[in-house]
Amino acid sequence: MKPRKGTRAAAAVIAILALSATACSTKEKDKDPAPNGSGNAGQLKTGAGVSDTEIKVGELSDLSGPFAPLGKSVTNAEALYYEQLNAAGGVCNRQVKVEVKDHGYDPQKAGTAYTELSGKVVGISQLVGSAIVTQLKDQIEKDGILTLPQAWPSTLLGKKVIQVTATTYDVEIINGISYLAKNVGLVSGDKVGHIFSDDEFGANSNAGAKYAAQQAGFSLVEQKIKPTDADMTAAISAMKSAGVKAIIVSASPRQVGPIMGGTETAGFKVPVLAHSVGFHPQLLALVGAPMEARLYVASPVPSINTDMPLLTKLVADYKAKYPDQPIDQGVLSGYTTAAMFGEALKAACKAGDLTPAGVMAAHRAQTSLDLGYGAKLDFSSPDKPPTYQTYILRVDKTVPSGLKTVEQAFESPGARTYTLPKPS
Amino acid sequence: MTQSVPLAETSGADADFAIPELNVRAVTVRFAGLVALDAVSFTVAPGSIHAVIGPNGAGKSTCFNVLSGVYKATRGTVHLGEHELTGLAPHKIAELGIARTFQNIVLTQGTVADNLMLGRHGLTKAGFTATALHLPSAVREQRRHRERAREIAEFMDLGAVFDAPVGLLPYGVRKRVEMARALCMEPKVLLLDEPVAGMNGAERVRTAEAIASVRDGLGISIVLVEHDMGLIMRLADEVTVLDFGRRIASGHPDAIRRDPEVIRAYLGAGEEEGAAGEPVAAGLAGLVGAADEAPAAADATPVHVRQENEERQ
Amino acid sequence: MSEPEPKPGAALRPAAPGPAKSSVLNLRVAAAVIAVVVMALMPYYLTDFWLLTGLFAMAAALGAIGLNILSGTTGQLSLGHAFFLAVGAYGYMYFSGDSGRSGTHDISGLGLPPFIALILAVLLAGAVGGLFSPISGRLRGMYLGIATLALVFIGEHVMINAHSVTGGYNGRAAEPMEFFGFTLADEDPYLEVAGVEFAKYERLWYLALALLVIGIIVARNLLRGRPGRALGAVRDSEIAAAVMGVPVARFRSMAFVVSSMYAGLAGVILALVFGRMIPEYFGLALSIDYLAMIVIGGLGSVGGAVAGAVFVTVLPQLFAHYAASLPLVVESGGDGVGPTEAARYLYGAAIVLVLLFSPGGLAGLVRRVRTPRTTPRTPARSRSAHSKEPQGAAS
Ligand SMILES: Nc1ncnc2c1ncn2[C@@H]1O[C@H](COP(=O)(O)OP(=O)(O)O)[C@@H](O)[C@H]1O
Ligand SMILES: [Mg+2]
Repeated sequence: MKPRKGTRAAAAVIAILALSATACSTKEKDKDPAPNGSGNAGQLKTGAGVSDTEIKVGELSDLSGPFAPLGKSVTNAEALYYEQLNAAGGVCNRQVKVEVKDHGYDPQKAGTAYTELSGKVVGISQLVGSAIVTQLKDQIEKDGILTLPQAWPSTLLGKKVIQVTATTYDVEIINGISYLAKNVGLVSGDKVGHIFSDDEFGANSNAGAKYAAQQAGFSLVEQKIKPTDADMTAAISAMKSAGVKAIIVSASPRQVGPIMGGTETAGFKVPVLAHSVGFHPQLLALVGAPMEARLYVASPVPSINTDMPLLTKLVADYKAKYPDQPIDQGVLSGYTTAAMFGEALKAACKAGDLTPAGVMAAHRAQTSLDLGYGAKLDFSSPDKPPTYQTYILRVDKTVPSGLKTVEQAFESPGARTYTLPKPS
Repeated sequence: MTQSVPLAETSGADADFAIPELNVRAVTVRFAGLVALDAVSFTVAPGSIHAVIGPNGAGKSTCFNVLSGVYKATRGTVHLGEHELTGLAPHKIAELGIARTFQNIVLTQGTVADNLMLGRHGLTKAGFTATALHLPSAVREQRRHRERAREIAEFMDLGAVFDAPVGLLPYGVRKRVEMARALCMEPKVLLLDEPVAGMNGAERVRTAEAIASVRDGLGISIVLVEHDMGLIMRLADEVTVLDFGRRIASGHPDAIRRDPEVIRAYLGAGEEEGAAGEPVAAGLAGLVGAADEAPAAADATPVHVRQENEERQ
Repeated sequence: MSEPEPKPGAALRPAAPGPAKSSVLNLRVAAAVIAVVVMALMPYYLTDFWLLTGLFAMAAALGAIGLNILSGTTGQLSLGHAFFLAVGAYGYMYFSGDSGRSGTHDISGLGLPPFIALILAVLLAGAVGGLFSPISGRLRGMYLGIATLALVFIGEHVMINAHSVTGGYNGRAAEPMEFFGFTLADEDPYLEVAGVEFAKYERLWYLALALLVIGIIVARNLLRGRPGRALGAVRDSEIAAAVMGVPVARFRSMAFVVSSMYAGLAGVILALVFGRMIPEYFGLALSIDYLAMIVIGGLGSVGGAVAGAVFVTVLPQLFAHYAASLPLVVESGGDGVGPTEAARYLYGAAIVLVLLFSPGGLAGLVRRVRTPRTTPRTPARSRSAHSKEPQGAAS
């Protein structure tokens, strides 16, 4: 008897569940946050993420993983920008509201976090981690929402929805090498070393370094390192025995530090060129002196501590809002990226189309945006970076970011003759 | 009283289930400098109970390890009938029909049934695919062998705990589970390493009866290592005595108990390892024929613990 | 025949009378059926966020079942599980994908029907697991763990450099699953069931659920049958297992094969769900997550592995989703303990608590609650009691 009872109970539960399924799925309602207004008044077209009072912008950051220091600065700076934008009246009489998701550099978390944003935001004004961008790019393209990554490999080019915000790594290193050649006196035939991490960043930078070296007649001595390596002894001794005149480093601060220290103790005091993503003010305490003497930083933006109205105001405002947070280049990167997104919103508002597609179209229509730090940005081609310019920064222990601008935005001849990798 | 062990219909099917002779010829085992077995020879006659006795460290367990393929003999050979066992992997030796228990219980997690079914591993065939897909052949095989395992459990007085996790059973019961598991292999030769160590008096009697009825019912050979001399005198058809790895005597139990060499070995061992009191006492008691049973021991008696510790060294 | 003497074991646990046992069995079957039906109804209710989380959990559950067979049942420590997931994922993408370009490189593929590709990918993962057996057969414990760790690093290197198969850093897009023209993607064809649009995640849900149910049943069959007993014997004592007639080396390597096949299947599901796989995903952290799953769930138990996978996968998502309404947790980007950190603390604490108080993991906890016998913590003690190697095992 008992067995039959169990089976019957199961059947009953199944029936009830099946009935309730057809009757009351509440799913459709919370999937789309009622894109209202689209039919209203006939002037402003709106879609996902935009209500009568609010524009919702998404951010996918790394606040708990390996890029957390960058993610934190960028997130703070973006919040500061939107706060100021809202104080100035917002966009289209709407307040911009930011929804931040932390993916911790985990593709799985990034995937779910993205589904929470997609359909609810008008665009994504921060996406940290080039691997995460790569992971999500097909979906982003399908959903058609403008996305601004905090990563600059040229392999991210080629998609209309993904806007690489500045000079790509390969072009940056071409500019950097040309500066180095001129200023430390490298001549054709010299050996130049390139230590690069075995990841997308390093590979992209290496493509640029190869091109620049070939153009200038340098022979490039290459050393691949693991992105997690901290011991640089082998790479340094390879450089030393090859007798390179300068070392280019495309790696994280975790490796730039040991390279500066290691070359110093080995008495191998050659100039070192790094990317701005390879520098962090914390290194000053460890290898301040060698960096001050020999480190050159190629950067898509000037030092945040440069004497420009935009930058002095940014530093002051940031200090006021986040008194305990360090001021680094991530702050500038975040602020200018948010400004880029803000400008796209304003342009879309003017064009009367605040739908995600409208925001993207308005963004791509800008060909000479000046955000106040020098560079003129041209967003019209998805296949090209918005600028080919690079700043050269050097270490200055007296300012919070640890960097001063020694060369204003410039573009080397090789920057445009180099063919960007053909994206799919 | 004790039921006789039921004959297996599953494995005995192939007609020639004749019990072969087990022949140990001049086996030597050396461990870095120490000679654990020194040219030991003996023969286990088909269907007999052959006891191997000797003080602690004499090499009895080492001998079992050679017979079951766990240790390689440095020299010498072991034959089961015409099959040479020396050099074979343990699972091959098991296939030829040698089953054993361990001095310190080695069971696997799970129920008594799980352990007994493990004993049937070599007699069953269900592979990964058949089992994973629940193929009728695998299901049928499992059911049939489980029935047989239950019969053996009942014979070993384990019917009531057939589905109980072995981890929850007392020491003496686990000891019998191990023996039942070995029986589940339907062996031709059964090696029992101190099967009643750590058991209380009643348990000893029952286990002794079980051993006798295995021999009588199944006709298989049994090699028995025990310190309980009373038990040996009652059960063994022949006794081999080891001391420091050498065979110092062998023959009928009655002859052995009067052998001066054997008595000296036990006394000598007593003097050398002053601490190892009880096993020696038990041994002497058996030899002199005074007591039939060693003092009743509860779970994990000090005797047992000490033996284990010694063997670890 | 009649046994008047007291049976030593009789007092321990009366044998369950037949009818009661079969009703318990029926209740369990009913519970399982209800669980499957509830799961099958989920796509009607869950948003994409929860569907995706559920899909990740189901994939993780399959992977964890596999690792549990290897580490929990057979006692072989593996830090290389992520590698076998990668073999499954990239295998599927290679078998089903067409030749073409991804990022800056040419990639190749066999263009096979996706379902065939799924099966081949699982078999490939199993074969690679089998190829590892010369190493897995020789090493034990910690040393095996380190050897498997090497697999993860080799895998990372291969994934980044074998551009034509993996697409390098850029990863590779996965062909959607397809059955006779019905694609498990957003459209093709468009499908609406009872007013709910059935898009990619809804459709994949049923595939993953079906594979998980099959995976659970297969694992249970294996563990309750002859192979499972042999594997358990190998874990508790290789010597005793061998003496019982188990060819130890063969079973150790079969454990690797089976576990790798489960990992491969999990990898295929992940590739389908993500739509694009990148090498970064298959790092050491993933292997460690899987170890955490089986430790939290309970070594050796299929249900435990599933529970552990759900715990490890869903917990961070719960935090991320409800950060706003949880005490002590701030939303991402705010000042204080973010949801990811909070989940990580809890996850760490769970492992410590499990190791301290419930060595059987979640499964052990459930068992203890369900059996109100007064067995004061015997399992923990007994494990060490009968995992002793017989004498001479040290060699
Ligand atoms: N694996 C081993 N390595 C080294 N010595 C061993 C090993 N196994 C046993 N022995 C030694 O061999 C001798 C015989 O041991 P054993 O066969 O266990 O004696 P027992 O007769 O008490 O069973 C002892 O001295 C023991 O220490
Ligand atoms: Mg012994």
